[in-house]
Amino acid sequence: MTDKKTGQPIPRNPTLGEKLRHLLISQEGVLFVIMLVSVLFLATRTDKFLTVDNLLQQGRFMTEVGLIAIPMTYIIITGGIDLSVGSILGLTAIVLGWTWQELGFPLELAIVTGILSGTLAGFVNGLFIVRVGVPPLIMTLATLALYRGLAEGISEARSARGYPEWFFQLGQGEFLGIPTQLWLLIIAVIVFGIVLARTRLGRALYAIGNNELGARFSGLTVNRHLLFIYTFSGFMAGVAGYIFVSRVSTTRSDMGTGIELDVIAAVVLGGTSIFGGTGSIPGTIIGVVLIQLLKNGLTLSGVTSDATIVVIGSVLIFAILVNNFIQSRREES
Amino acid sequence: MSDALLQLRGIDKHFPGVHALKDARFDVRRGEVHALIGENGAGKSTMIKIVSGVYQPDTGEILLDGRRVEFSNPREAHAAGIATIYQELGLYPELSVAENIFMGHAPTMKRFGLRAIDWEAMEQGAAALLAELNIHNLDVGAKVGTLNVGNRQRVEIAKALSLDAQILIMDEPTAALTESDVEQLFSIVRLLRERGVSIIYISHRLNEVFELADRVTVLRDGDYIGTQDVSATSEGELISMMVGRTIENLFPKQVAEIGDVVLEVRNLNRPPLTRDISFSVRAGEIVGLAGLVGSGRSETAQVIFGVLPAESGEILLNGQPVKISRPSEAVDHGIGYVPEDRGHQGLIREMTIRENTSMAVLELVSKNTFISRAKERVLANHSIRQLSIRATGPDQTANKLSGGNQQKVVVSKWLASSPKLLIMDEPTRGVDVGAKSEIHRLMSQLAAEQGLAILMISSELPEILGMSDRVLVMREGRLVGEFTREEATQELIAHAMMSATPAVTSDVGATL
Amino acid sequence: MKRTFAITLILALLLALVAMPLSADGHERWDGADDLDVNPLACGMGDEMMEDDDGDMEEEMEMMEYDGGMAAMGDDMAGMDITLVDVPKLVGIGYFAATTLGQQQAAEELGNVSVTTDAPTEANIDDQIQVIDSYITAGVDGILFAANDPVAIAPVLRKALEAGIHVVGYDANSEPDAREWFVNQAEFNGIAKALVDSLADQMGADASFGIVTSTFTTPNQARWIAEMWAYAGECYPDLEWLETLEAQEDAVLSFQQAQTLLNKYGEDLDGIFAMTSVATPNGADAVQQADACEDVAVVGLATPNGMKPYVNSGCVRDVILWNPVDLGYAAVYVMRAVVDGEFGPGDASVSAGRLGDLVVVNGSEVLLGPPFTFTADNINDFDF
Repeated sequence: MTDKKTGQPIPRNPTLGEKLRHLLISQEGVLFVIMLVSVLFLATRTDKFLTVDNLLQQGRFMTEVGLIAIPMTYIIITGGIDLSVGSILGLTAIVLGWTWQELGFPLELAIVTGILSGTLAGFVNGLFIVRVGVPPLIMTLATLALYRGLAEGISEARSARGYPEWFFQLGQGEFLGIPTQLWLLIIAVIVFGIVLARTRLGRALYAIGNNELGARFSGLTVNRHLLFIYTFSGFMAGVAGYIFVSRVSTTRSDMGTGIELDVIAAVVLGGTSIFGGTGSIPGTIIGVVLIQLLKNGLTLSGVTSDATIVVIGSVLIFAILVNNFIQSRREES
Repeated sequence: MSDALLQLRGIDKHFPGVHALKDARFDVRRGEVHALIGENGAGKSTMIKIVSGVYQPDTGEILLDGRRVEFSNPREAHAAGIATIYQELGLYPELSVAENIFMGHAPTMKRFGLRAIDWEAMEQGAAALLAELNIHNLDVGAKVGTLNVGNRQRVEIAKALSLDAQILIMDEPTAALTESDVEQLFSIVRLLRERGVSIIYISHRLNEVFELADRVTVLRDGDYIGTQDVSATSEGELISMMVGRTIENLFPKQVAEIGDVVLEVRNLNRPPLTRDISFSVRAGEIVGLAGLVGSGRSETAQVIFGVLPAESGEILLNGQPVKISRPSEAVDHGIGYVPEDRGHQGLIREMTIRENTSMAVLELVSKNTFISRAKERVLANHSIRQLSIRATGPDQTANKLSGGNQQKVVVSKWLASSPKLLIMDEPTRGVDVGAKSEIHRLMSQLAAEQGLAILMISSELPEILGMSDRVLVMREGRLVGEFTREEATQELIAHAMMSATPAVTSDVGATL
Repeated sequence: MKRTFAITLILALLLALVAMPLSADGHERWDGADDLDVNPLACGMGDEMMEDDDGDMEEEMEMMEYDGGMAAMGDDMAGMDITLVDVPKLVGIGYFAATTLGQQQAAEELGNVSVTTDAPTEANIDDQIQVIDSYITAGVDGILFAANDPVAIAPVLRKALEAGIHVVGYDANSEPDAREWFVNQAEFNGIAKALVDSLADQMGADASFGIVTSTFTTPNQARWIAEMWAYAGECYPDLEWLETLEAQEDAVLSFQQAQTLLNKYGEDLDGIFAMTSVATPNGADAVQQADACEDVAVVGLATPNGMKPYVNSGCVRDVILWNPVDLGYAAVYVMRAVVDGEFGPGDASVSAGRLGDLVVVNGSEVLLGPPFTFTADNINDFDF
């Protein structure tokens, strides 16, 4: 082989300007710009929107969706989906309340039991998907109904209420001036963002999503990874369930109904391809924040809830179109 | 060249970052088969896409019957009588043969005041078109999805003829065909030529060019190299035109020192395609595994690699029995597998060269589970140099590479894992001549210099004969022959592959 | 093998979890009744008696102390223009469209109130909380609500009170201290009495009946059935309860369950109590199709639109509900009175425009009045 054929120019280190430009036209960059524009626009409509108090309050409201969106990003990157997260959240809440009130568990133990049952629910999803080969969509659609039914059966449509004061610290309290659960979300985003971007686990997930067979043929333990992420999804839905109960002070079997769609919308808005293979935690979290701020900002500027969903749907489509356009231009250049 | 039906002159085409065609020329006479050859990335695809209206040239002109034409989309090229038969056939599997042939221009009749499809006329027309091609055994009512590749291709050709195509472009038409389908395709091509249809024929296989074509045009790196009458050229000349140098030895086999047994399998069983298989591969040895498609070669390789775990039997590595029930275990034991289906099994095409080369050795490029991109880049750059991968850099995505370079990335992935045994399944299928000899050189080198044991599966007998120290032959899931490099001949192996008499089966297992 | 075993084990555990809460429970009461305390009203018939009852109750029960919350002191808005937001459980259904209509009527009459209705399009506790929170931030003078969950909504309502926003609930209550007043459309015992009285009046005090409810554990329905059981036990001991069937809130199932009762008890069946707004029209339909309008009385809770065909055809005589237009209307009047300082803890009644004076019950609830009975005479005046 002659040198002429292999002799590629050695890539020089990119300048700061180039790096910045690269960041700006990335999926996340584009979305971030859309978010900034939306925030600035909403801020001109009402002076109630861009205040520290309001923004922190929105952070409180979006924590559950944000926490569940992290494993959902993992799962969608592998080309899967988990529709049962809302039901797992409900199941966790009910188990927490039921073990505490009916079985007389200490509240601490009830919390752990609740989260564990969520984790187990996710594990069962994973087990059937990996071992029996049920497609994730079918499996989690089935458990969406099953776990909800389980929650309703256990609760007998009764709510568990009257938790002690300390229980509300997580959902309603503050730490260093910031809603307690928001800390948890921030830490989770950083940790699991790095896990996805930098570790072997993250790399394996992208490989599985792009070409599961190829990943298997490269000696990656595909099944183990899939089992892990569905279990992880159950765990995070469980944690979200605990936070949710702590925030609204009661358990109901219909908790988290429909949250899976909010989560999936945010993840997809954040640039994760529903076909798998691409996506990132920063993108997802921008998606979560964007949807939450739009909801809140539009209400504050006098748009009613039914009109707000229309606007959010439009922004979702718009953002995806803009991103597709920019990404295809980037591919060419 | 005054009698040219189609003429392309001074064609230039740029893509972002690539100068795909530079002042290229091409012409087709009425009723000739004109082969277009070149390595991957030489510009053949761009050329035919310009002819068929998919791309528009930056500069240059296209003359059809002496008149200047411009195709702004494939439909216009179609209307001008230019039809293309792609590698990936553009048929609707759920529709019938007749429906596919007349897709978009079905014969119609008036019924209830509406234009309705005249099904009878359509089926008759389809049958007539097929009969013109000497195809009589194809049911026009059958769903295309139920046909084999060869028949589907015939439907595609009939479809082109139903549009009165004067120029037929065939892109690698034999790539997926069996031997007998190839023969039938050739007779159809000759039939069309007699009827005055011009054919642009693209192929990697030089023997097809010599068998079929009247003239041949060679492209290299977007440059027009030359056009020759087939009768006046030779295989060697064409190869040197294609690669820009002469290749003295297609199979650069080095003498290697054969060491200890690395892999030994005993009575490996996973019916139906792996039955009672026993053999061994030694360090420094290249063992060729021959057989017809479906004889169980790939399946046996996948049993060893843990994709299809064995039901019974033993696998020994360096004399130690090992249990392999999934690929990750095979990798842990030092086995690499370059699979047959590069796109789906070998590579993750959407990911970069860097990510692909480190895929099997993530623990080597990471620290406490954190992947070091710097280490990965070092590894990828090393692979690019070692295997002469033609790429813009380690961060190029794999699907932007040519077939040969993609294959090199797959090989580099396994070399990075320092395997004891490398199983290579059709290592040079779909790879152009230049890259092919590079891969062969690399195989020899690895066996001779690093003592790597290689099990090579190939359907190309010259490759088997040229590269193997020892040849094993499989048929119907069983090992039916073993030959040393010296005793192996094309006839012996072909006989073992196809013969129905299990001449040597009985004692093969025992002697190994 | 181990894997199969593990999977089977997990499945068995799951099934056990489902089955456990469904088993065990002795039933002294009618199926579908809950086990909370009951408080049956005095026996009697007709609207006049009902009103007398209210009067009696007031005297009988010692006045419960005010247990509502208190809005933080803000600017005195007495007599000034105020902006209210109304957050029902959800928007897009006829029932809450009717309460909104009543609110707008009241706002127009008063002239110094403007009300906007905004709520999620699904009855979701979290969405409702977020909508209320946004309006607290946006700043309104008062919040009217119908809670999706009494406990879950409480913190955000308390936050409103702390911000000096007045809070009045209607239709579905919250924890008492999280709002100032709740306009109670009808108490459970009132509904129970109206239902049982209607059946006894139509088919006699010794009639036999079945019940079609949503599920045995749906809270409102369970409460009503418990109160019906208590009231019938005291006032109509000869009424015979045959069976309670579950039909969720499903139209087809409701129809089938009513048919089941008709087929199973035939001649013995004199009446059907339909406990949901889905079961009532579908139960009536089943009776009408069986040509049994004369022999079986359907008495149930439902909105007028769904029941017009059966009431107009004479197959169903009484449909029990409250008037949601009045409910919304009353909520705005109560809010106005609270803002103006005319109505506060300790008061026994509040003046509510065309509805006259409404009495305070249970400490901090304003009772809309006896349940409303839709009959052929008035049902066509309503559109919800």
